[in-house]
Amino acid sequence: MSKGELSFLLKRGVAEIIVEQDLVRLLETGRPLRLKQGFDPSCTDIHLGHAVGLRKLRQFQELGHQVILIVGDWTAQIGDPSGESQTRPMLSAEEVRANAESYMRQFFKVVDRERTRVVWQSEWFGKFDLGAVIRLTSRFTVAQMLAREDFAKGTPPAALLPLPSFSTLCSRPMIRWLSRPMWSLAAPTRSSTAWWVGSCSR
Amino acid sequence: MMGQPPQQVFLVPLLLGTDGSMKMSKSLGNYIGIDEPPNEMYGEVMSISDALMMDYFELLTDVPDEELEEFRRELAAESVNPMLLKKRLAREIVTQFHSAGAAREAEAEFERVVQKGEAPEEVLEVAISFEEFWLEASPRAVSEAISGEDMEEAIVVRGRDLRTGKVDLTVSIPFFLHKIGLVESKSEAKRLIAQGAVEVDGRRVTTETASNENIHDGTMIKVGKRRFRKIVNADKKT
Repeated sequence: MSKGELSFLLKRGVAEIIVEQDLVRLLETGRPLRLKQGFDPSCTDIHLGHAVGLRKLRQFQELGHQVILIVGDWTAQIGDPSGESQTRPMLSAEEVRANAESYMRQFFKVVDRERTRVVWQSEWFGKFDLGAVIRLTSRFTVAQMLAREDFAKGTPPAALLPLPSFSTLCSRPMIRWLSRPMWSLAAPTRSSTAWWVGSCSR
Repeated sequence: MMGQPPQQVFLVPLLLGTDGSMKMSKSLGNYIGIDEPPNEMYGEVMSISDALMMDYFELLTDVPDEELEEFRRELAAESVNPMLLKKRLAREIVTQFHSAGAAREAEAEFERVVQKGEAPEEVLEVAISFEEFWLEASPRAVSEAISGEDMEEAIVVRGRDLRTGKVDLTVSIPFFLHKIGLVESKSEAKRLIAQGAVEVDGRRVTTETASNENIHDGTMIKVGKRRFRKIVNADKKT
């Protein structure tokens, strides 16, 4: 890869790379990399704001790298189980699939379908059993949970919450933690949108 | 997860929406969908500010950096019309999500409608029955008078054009535009009229003439730069 290509890929339309030197080193090995991009199928439309990131994925693909599109179908079906958020409605499996199809039709207007692997989050989370849940909760303490904003400013106080509401609120950071390695930040942060680049293990 | 090689995080900048102040987002309504038809996409890109234009060039096109530098120099020196550069941007974007041919057609349409102020090739028609419109309006005028609202606005007069012998309507434009769904509210219509942004058959509607405009079969209404409607009388015989 030429200096010009590298600079176009890593400088133009890029907010931040963590860690840039490491990514440069990975690119220099010449191995195909895997770029993981997730999306939340509670929405269906792609606009130019999303296209900024998708164009970047496309540029990586043109250099021989692979995109993994992670459909957040499992979390979309759970929605916001407390029922408080209107922006995260609980969707049926059919709705989620229809949304995802519509999203992907637009996604592949920019990203190369041939160099993309689509994976469904439910393939992984759907198999989560009680044992796995208990192993997961062992990573957190009650104090950590209560320190979260959800509880800190919540009414009623945490001790008076019905147990399902309590566990629902607790599940959020756990899902986020679990998803860390495979799930890109589908929701944009204030200043930028992100995805993960991993090296191909094959 | 544990035992996996470290992963890198790649963050891209957020694109500002067409309003130029907030991030592009569906809920803010300042977005351009990649599924939108070429003419809309082209027109919406042309509606962004000159200041925003270079951001879009950088984040949404492959125009080389050197060329973008030149654009910036020319804009700073005011040696280029920003409109020309923005048309290039709109073409690049429409080409990407549709095709080069669609971009050329969208540009021709834009030049015809917005730059020359002519009617677009395909105008949406609004078919209304003049008879029903008139009949329905009268009791409304009465009820608005009773409820203390401005009755004048809802008065519709049915007449006949002496020259052509065809039925026509004399209406208040804010009431009429709201009725056919071209504006959200009568106050929006009044604001647009005050800005000089409403035309009936090629004549600008003013605050003075707004309460008394003539609508006939085939009347062309224009609101803002790109909203056109042709009024068709749905009554078979007039």
